[in-house]
Amino acid sequence: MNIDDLKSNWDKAGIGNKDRNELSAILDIQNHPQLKKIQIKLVIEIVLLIAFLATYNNIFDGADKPQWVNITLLAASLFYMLTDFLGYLTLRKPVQGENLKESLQQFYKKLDRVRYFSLIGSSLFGLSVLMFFATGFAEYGVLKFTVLFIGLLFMMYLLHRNWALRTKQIKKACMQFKESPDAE
Amino acid sequence: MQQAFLGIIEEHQNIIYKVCHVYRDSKEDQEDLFQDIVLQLWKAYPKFRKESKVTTWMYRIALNTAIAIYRKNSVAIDFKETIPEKIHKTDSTPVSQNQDMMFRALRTLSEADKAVITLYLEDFSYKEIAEITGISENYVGVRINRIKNKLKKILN
Repeated sequence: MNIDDLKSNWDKAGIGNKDRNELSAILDIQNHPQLKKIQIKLVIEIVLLIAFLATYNNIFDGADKPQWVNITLLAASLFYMLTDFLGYLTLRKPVQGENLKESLQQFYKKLDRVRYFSLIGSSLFGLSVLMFFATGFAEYGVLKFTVLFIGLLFMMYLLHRNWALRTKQIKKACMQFKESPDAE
Repeated sequence: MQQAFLGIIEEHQNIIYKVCHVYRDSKEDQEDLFQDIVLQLWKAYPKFRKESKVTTWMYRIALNTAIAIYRKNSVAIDFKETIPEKIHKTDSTPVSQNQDMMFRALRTLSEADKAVITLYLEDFSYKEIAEITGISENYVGVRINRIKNKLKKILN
């Protein structure tokens, strides 16, 4: 196959046959596989956090802890939820600028910003949880505290990895649009 | 407004179909991308001022979505002793062997090169390709020559 054949095959390709009803169904976000996955993740995280905040007072004796520890935990949880929601809003809108190069650059900047916010949010949440349990350190014991610490570190690692993969992909595409032979 | 939009998509869905085949390997990924693109076009439609051609607008959004939407790298398993009659339910015209070979060759290019060659094959002028991609008109020519050379090596 040469370049002329390529052009001829290109012209023949692409006869989609979706009717209006099928296309109309796509406009409903509930039928959308990618965004639905992100939405489900967001809802699960927020529900778990709210459930934790609603029960920690009784289950983990929150009332017996200093007030500043409780306030820090509450504020960090809210900040984490906010960064989660911010990430969802950013991912929903990948088309930003007037052309591909500009759009990808703007999207990259936004994703990178969200990545930092997300890392700060998860770090603050992790620290606030550790502080909460550290105030009753003797009660929980070294093993439980270590498990919690490792669990939080793992959660932060996964979150960081998730955002790093997304931003890396967009950064790579941005580089490919640069007009220098070295960019490739 | 929705009916007008659906009319445009119905008429020009071959654009989305081609972009999906250039940017994604598997049938499932192509179908997911198709949905992503239609949704992004729908979101962008209120701002579409009709100063540019519908096809220019559609390609800009479709290519942007194909590049920006995150996809996990999956390992392609291509082992088969016999060709199955139908692996997935097909809701579009089957791709011929030559077209399949063409899309496979195009998928080996970088994300930016895929965008440039897609627009070139669709007969957009260098000026239009420059406007859609954001690279300069002069560089479009240089880039297309490089891509042609890469494709020649792959196809022969």
